[in-house]
Amino acid sequence: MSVTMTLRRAVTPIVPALVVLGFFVWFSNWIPQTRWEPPKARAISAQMTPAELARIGAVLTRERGCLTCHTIEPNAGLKGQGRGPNFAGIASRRAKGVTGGPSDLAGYLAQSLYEPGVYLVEGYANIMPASQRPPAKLTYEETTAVVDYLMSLGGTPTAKIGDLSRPSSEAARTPSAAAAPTAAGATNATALLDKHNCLTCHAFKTGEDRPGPPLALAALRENAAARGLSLDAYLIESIVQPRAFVRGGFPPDLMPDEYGTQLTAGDLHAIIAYLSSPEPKP
Amino acid sequence: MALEGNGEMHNRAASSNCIAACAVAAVLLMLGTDLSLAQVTSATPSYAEPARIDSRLTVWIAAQLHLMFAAFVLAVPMFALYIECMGWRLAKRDRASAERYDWLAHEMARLLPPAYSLTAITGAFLGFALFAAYPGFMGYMTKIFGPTFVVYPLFFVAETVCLYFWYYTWDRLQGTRKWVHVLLGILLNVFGTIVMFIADAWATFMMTPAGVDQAGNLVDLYAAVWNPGWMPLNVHRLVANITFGALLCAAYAAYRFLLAATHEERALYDWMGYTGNLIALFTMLFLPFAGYYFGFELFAFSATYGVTLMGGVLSWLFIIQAIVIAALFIGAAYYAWLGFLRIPGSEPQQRWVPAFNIILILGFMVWATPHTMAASIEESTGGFHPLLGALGLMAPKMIAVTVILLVLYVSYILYRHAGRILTVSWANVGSAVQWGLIVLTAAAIVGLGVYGYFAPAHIRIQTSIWQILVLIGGIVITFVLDQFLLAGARTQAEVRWGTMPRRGQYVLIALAFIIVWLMGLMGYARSAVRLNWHIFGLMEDTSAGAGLPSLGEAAVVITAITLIFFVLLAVSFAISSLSARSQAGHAAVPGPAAV
Repeated sequence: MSVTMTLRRAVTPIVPALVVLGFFVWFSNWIPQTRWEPPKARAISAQMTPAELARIGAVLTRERGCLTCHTIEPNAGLKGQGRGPNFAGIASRRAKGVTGGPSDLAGYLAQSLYEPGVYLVEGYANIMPASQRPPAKLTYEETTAVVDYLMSLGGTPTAKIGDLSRPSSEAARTPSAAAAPTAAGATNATALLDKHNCLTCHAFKTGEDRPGPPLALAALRENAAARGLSLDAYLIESIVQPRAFVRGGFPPDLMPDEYGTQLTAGDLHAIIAYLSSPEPKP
Repeated sequence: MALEGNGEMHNRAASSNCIAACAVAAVLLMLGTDLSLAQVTSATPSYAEPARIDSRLTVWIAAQLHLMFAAFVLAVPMFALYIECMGWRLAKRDRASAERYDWLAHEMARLLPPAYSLTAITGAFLGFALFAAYPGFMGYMTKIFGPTFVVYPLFFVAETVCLYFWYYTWDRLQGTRKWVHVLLGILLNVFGTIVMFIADAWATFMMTPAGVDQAGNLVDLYAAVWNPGWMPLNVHRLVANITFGALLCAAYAAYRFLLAATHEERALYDWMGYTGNLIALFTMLFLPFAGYYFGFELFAFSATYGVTLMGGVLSWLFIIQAIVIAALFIGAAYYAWLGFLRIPGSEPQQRWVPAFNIILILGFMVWATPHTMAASIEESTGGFHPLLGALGLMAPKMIAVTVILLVLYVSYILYRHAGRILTVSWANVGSAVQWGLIVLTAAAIVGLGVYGYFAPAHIRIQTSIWQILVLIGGIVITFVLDQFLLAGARTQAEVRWGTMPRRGQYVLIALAFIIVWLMGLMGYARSAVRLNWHIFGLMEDTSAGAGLPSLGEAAVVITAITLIFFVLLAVSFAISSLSARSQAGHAAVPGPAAV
């Protein structure tokens, strides 16, 4: 048998396969081509006006992926076909903040970015990562710009650099800003724990025979690390979506999943501040 | 038999394998010891450009090639051992069938030693590339996973030893000593699976890190290993690897069929190709669910993954994936339908083929409908597609994919009935009940999907689980019924093995290329979804070119990887087949009987 013949016998069977692969390559090049680039740091100075910040915020909102879940669909209602609330008209909708949480628009928007699970708009799941965490990873200045942009959707941007509070994890790094839970706050939290019968299933000490995991600070920290979240974010998730992450062989469906709607943002804050504080507990 | 006259060549091959295996072990041990001593205190990357090569591209190619060879050597022993056990079970009552199954298992295992060498070589190359180009990242990974880096080579060496003993003692450990051979096969599979599970822990930690604090310091190694993505990826890879390995074996059989000089040889390789395709079709039934399981866990870890994959920058990738999987499913089904031609008296079953084809194509059109079609970053807004609307939602897709799987299953049932006449007294009633149940299964799947479409998201997820359970339940019940229906069935004519048209073999070879390309695509997806993060949320990729290429560019690289993989595989098979030329071979193996 000649070399050409042998070669033909060897190559012919793979020709259809190569045609199929060729089609895949053609199709992959035929569809719209997008090269994704990592977000670039933007120069934001403290002297910028809210309007200037809002313009930067508009770019950041698109670049950092906010619009993969939220939409800006005027006249499409609150939902606006998105996985998160519609941004269109948010400034007029939330001009007075939320009950139990910040009572001003800028404060509410900042809290929604820093701790999106604290106040969940009805009908939405707790899926948004905190804005200072990946993938958005907004700096404080960038957060201010985004808040200004959102304020411009149905209102007027007013926030300047320094006007908004910083995220709690950032504040905790500054000793002067570290807010220790007050005695009143602790009393309020223990009353809330009693009211919602939390201590029926949980204990503050490890090793006690309870159906739910212990609330000892060390155990909570360990679980938060296992979940890959900050302690605050882990506690919020555990209260609002208790089935999202269960560790240590505890029954996954024991804890009711309605605390997200029963607790106000203020209540949730009080409980989390109490549980995450190092002060001795009964 | 396999070793006669070829001892030197085999010894040389085995020694090269051992050197490669030792190289992998050395790299990992080096990483596990030297690097763990390095003072890597935080999750900060550092970069190098050895020999001015494109580090990213080099690691991409090396990692993907290694994964492909590793998938092959992990999967083939699983079903080869299963087939060997089938033969062993038949040894006393049907010696001819036992010998045939043993031949098939050995023929599949024959592909392993050369593939194992390439697994080890590409693994060593990957290790060196990562170590040289990404020292900061590798240092951090060693700090977290140091103990596993030490354990991994031990299992790898144990797997190597078992593989070579299992393969090279095939003829010696026959008869009463067969159980020792089977035991070696079991050990090989256990060690291989452990090796994969360990490597999966590293890969999934990069996607869903756990067991570390916010600064990246290790808190709990167990949690780092058993991170949220670990078990879903283990399951997905186990299933996908079997599909992958089976299709590669089928392609090998197709090639041998086309080059066969005698009818007996063609008959045997026709049977081997059929078996490979059957295994692939069976495991394909579970692949979409394994994929959804992995996807659900990723979404639960971070919603960002879900939107990046389905509604963001990678949404078009899943259109490509749907087209590739459609080609895979339709190709495998087409080969199965062509198989009717080998069976005299299968005309009643062949009538269904056009209808099945239409259902498959329509199903894939729905599956390929995207939630969002973003033509640019600016368009990645998460809304519905302006023309296709809500067809891109999960509920219609779940109906489509589940019905596709049901059609594939029904194809298999028809194949079982082709050329056979039922003899049980209740055949008519039994057939009516069987088809009634199949129709009921389809109706329940569609009904649940329609209900889920209108229900809130958390209910929709539950209905999709029910759809899967209904499908599995329907399959199990109707298959058991089928076993009773076919009991004592009269065969109109024997299956004419070796008469499969040549186009059937071309399809099998094309399927192997498609599955390799698909694996390359999904490997890219898994890596690309992390965007500019080495370890999601912990270690950012700050190197130049940390973004993503366009899908067109990615497709070119994936195609290049696919071709390199097949060239390497073909060369290694060709070298190994030189040693097999002098075998007495197939003449001694009885031809396959009717299925």
